[in-house]
Amino acid sequence: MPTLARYYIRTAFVWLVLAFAIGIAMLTSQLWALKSNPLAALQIVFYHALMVGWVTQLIVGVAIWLFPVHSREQPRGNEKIAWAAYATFNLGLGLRSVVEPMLQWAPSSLVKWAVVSAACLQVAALWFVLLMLWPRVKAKVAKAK
Amino acid sequence: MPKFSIFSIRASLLYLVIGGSVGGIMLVSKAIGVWPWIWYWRTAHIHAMLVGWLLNLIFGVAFWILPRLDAHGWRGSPWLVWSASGLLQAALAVLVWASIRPWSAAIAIASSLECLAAIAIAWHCWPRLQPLIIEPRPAQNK
Repeated sequence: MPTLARYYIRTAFVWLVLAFAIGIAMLTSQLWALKSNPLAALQIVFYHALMVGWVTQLIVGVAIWLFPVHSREQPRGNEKIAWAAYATFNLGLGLRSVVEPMLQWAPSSLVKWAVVSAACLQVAALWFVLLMLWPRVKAKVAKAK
Repeated sequence: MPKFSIFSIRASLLYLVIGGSVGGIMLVSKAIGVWPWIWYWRTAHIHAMLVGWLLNLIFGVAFWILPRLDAHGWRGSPWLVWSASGLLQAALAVLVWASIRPWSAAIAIASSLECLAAIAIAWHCWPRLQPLIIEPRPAQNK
């Protein structure tokens, strides 16, 4: 399995664990019977940790590993794009997970612009994923006899 | 990779980018209170990510990678998978249209189309879910 794919898949597992930890915290907080539960702000973080951090990152990692090779010289395509996607994907999601609930807990202009930065990083990551995987979705090249 | 899989996986990548970009705009809107109209697109964002991205990808990879039906590599009639894909794209188009011009029946129509797509892909995949059959080598004449 290529190094890139291992990074993506291992990080996906980290997000799976984080998502469940957030889920446990949210469920446990319901037992406190508070008038307004502050951890309800984590619900959107929980969904995105699970669907983006775990599911999407796992799929991208497996696609890097198993999709048809790009070329003999660059079997996984341009690896710089793949690493840029990995960095922006996890930075964006990580930053969003921290600052999005803070919009409810302690809103400030710094928090607001941090959320905007997280959104930009996440959208950039998806474009990098598209650029990385698009050329590898192709028909099998017939070998010359 | 067969033609259907190329179409379906590339469509899924486009849905990932488009659906994710809408999500990004929603997040910016939430933070700084601009473009409030983007929240009409919330249902379209969720469907683009869960149906457009994940289901198109699953359909494409399943058609490509599930066991073949015979030794010549026959994957089964492709009309069922193309129908499933067409129904899925129609469902997503209905939802996007309903985001622009709110329409009460949109969710029911889109869900019905998605259900028909699920039936079509299950119908195609069912006979391909079989154990690997290794045929014995022909006896060698000594």
